[in-house]
Amino acid sequence: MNAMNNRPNDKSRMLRRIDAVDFAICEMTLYLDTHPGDTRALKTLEQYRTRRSELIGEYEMRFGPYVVTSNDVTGNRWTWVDNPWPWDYQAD
Amino acid sequence: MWQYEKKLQYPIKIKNPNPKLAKIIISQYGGPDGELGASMRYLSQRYSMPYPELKGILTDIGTEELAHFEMIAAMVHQLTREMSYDEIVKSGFDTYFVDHTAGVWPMAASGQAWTSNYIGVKGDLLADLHEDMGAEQKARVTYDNLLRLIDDPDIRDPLKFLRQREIVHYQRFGEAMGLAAEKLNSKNFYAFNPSFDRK
Ligand SMILES: [Fe+2]
Repeated sequence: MNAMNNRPNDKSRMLRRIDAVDFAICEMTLYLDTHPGDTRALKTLEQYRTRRSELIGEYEMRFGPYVVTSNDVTGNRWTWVDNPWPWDYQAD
Repeated sequence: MWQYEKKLQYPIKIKNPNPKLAKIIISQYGGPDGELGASMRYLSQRYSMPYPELKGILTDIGTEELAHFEMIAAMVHQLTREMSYDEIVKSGFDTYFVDHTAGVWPMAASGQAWTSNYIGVKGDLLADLHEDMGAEQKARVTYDNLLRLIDDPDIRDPLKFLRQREIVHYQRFGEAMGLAAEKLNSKNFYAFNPSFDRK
């Protein structure tokens, strides 16, 4: 966890990139629920998923856990609890 | 079951607190067409759905509504940060403050507590899907009304995002209704669900 090398904006910029991919995944998911046989949509979703796991991997390396189950337990602190939480106001 | 992702679905970053606007935005938290009701409606309706696509769409839209519920809470929370007592009184936030301080409690802008009377679970796919399409339109109108009353771009931007989601959900529920109707007997053009009455 090299949090010191990060500029303050990097984390929110990274989150915005994840948001964009997650949005596409959310849209494809709802679409596939009512069109489960659409193979083109399945292919598209697969590409977004690959992109998402790359981004989440990079995010977690730099900024700590994205989901509680991936909290690193080899260090000396449970960083899941650390601020900011998503609803906290953060000036840029 | 669910797992939490430590982020909002869409960012909330409101520079200028405004408790007066928090008091109307909270309606999308716990009001008659708010996000709590949306989530509870869909997640509760899915158990009596007979077809897999319908179980899927209600689970996934119900889950997305929980993310919207959190976005609205973040807006209310940020709009009520660092309030002075003077601002609390002048903005009219005092009537909320006396009961909840700056906590976020599910209620309608017009004062009522959240209640399950806001949602319908009829246990019938046609009745429930019709309810859902109406619910999405009512939520869209509430966002339209908020956008009519609010100028701050930091607030308008996420409200516009949420409004768009209601339109997409309406579309998907319409398709779900189409799937349900296809499974009915072709002679059943009055669209009722005959499954209980088959002897
Ligand atoms: Fe919705």
